[in-house]
Amino acid sequence: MAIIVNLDVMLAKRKMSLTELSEKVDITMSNLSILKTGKARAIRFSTLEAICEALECQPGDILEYQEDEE
Amino acid sequence: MNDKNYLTGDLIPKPLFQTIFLGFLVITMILIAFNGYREYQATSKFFEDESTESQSSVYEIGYLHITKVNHSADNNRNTRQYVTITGLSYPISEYAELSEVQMESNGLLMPGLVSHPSFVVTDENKSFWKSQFYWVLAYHSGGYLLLCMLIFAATLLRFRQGQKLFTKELKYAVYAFYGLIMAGYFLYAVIFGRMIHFLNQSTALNESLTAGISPELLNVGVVLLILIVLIEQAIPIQEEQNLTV
Repeated sequence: MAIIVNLDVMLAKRKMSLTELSEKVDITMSNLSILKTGKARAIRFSTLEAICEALECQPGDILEYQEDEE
Repeated sequence: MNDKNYLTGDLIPKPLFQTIFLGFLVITMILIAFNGYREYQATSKFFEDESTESQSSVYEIGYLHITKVNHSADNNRNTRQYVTITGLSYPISEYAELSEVQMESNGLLMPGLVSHPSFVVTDENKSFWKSQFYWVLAYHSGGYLLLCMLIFAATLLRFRQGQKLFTKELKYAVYAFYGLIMAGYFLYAVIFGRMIHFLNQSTALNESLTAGISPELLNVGVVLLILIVLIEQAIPIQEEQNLTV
């Protein structure tokens, strides 16, 4: 997948655990885990907005584009 | 401002609703089993009782009806039992040419409507008719009980899966329903064929052994097969949705 999710980087910067983030944004641990491990196929704007608000960051801090090496 | 929207909210809490619904299914299963046992006892009693208090009494299960009639002649009273079968496809062959004596000696009492003949229950064939009634009773009661159990299992699964609809488990549940319907289709034909074979051997019925093959259950089976194909297509789409956060 060309879009990389740097959620664990932001969590480390904000010194927040995945569990704490889950409680703050009211998203299940399994969904956050899917996002963190790069298995997600799509993300809703509402989810992105909630995560950015909780981590006090921009979407670009969480999402990164890398060209596929093919 | 009150944000609660009574039009879109639940009337009763979801866990309570689920418990009530599953409880209702359990009660239904218990009632089906109890009713089946009661019917079994009633069937045994009807066959075993030599006489009936009223002039005639009738008991029926599915396509089988058994009638007891008291006959009185010259201060002698006896009771005769007849089994009537409904839903045959073809008329009794040559019944119009048989005399009443011939019909009775053939075990065929009265042709009645062309597809609803009646047969005398004698000491020789009583055990057969009793077992046929039991088979039909087991088919109906057992079938409904199994169906209810499947519905219970499928409902419990759905409640646990929450928002996800098209899952492997749903596919297996539909497969199970399909298996039950097809088993019922074949079993019905076998039980009916058993009776037709007996009657062809002992009377002038001459009905086809495949008379019990009815298309209704097969139609349901075909619909379930189509559903399985649709679910197979929908599962990958659902899995894609599951990975949308």
